[in-house]
Amino acid sequence: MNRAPQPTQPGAPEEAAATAPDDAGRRCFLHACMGGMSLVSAGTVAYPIVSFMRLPSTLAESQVLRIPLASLSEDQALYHDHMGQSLVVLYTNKTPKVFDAACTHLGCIVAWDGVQRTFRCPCHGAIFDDEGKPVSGPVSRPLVRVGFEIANNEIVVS
Amino acid sequence: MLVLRKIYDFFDSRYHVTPALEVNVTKKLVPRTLGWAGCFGGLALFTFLTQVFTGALLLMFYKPDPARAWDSVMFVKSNVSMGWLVQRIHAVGANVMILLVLLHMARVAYYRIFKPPRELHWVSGVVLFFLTTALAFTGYLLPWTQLSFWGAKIGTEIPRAVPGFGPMLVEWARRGKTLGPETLGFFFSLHVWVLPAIISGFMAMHFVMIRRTGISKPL
Ligand code: FES
Repeated sequence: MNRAPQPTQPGAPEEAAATAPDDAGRRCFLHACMGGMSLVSAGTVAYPIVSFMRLPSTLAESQVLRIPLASLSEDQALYHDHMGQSLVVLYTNKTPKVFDAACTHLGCIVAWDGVQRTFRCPCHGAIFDDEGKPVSGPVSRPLVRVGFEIANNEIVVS
Repeated sequence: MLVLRKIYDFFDSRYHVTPALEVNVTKKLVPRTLGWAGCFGGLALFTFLTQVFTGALLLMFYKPDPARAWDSVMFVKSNVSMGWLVQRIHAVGANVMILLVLLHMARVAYYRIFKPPRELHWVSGVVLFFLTTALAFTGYLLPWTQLSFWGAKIGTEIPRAVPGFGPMLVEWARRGKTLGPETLGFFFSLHVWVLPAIISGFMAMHFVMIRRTGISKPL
């Protein structure tokens, strides 16, 4: 850095004056002003950033799940997410059943096997029959049944 | 305040921060003849940093998929608090950055600052200009609007004029015969990683060179 030395220092006389006792208060005041202004500017930058990172308000989730009967077919399972839960609608012998798809062992989502007509858990191999009763694996409790009504050709879970 | 002082002293006593700060910031004197025009380069750097930070925020929501890109941008603008501001700063900032880089170049050209020993400052600066343009161009496609789609279409058409390789280059830039999901993913990766990484390297070179030769003394 071969910068040439500065010929004059315009700040010098003021600095000498600033050491005089009556200027101490003013200097302190100016320092406080400067600090305050820096804080305000930092705040105007920080505020949008912090509010941007807040969890955004998504559209309110419907409390009621409606599944048209027409969307079901024999021996098929239909999965729906409802209020943070994964529900599965199973349609067998012309009657729908709704289960909480979380395995009663440790909560993995069970998959419907249409050939074996069982629910299989991918995590530790639990098997449930089409009534949700445990068949084999590390489970003793059946899948949780979810209550529903049928109205206007729709399954309504509330 | 006292706590801050203590933290500062902790580092200062170990790494001698104060002398470095004095030499580079607090006691560094600006040449008297250096006017406002001397700020364009620094302002361009400041704009770049703004783009990095607003870009990082937008990246939290953006989805590089033609089916969802536009919706994810709209989501930021209308559902995320202050999202409209961050998105606007990023979009306008791109234009401001190009403008500042051009003003910086105009000044350097006018005062003949590119003369020895500073030729490579100019060369690296021109590379930086092209990288800035490339960043703006790749970013323009990301919202996947009509404007961005056709802009990217026309922009990727340019290399067709290259004799011989032209059509190959166009296909390479589009990741296929037409613009589609592959193009969007390609532009996205260029925009958020590849180009920023390269431009940072060239910026570092540019700044180190300036420190080594010192800034040019105005008349
Ligand atoms: S969670 Fe289903 S078997 Fe363990």
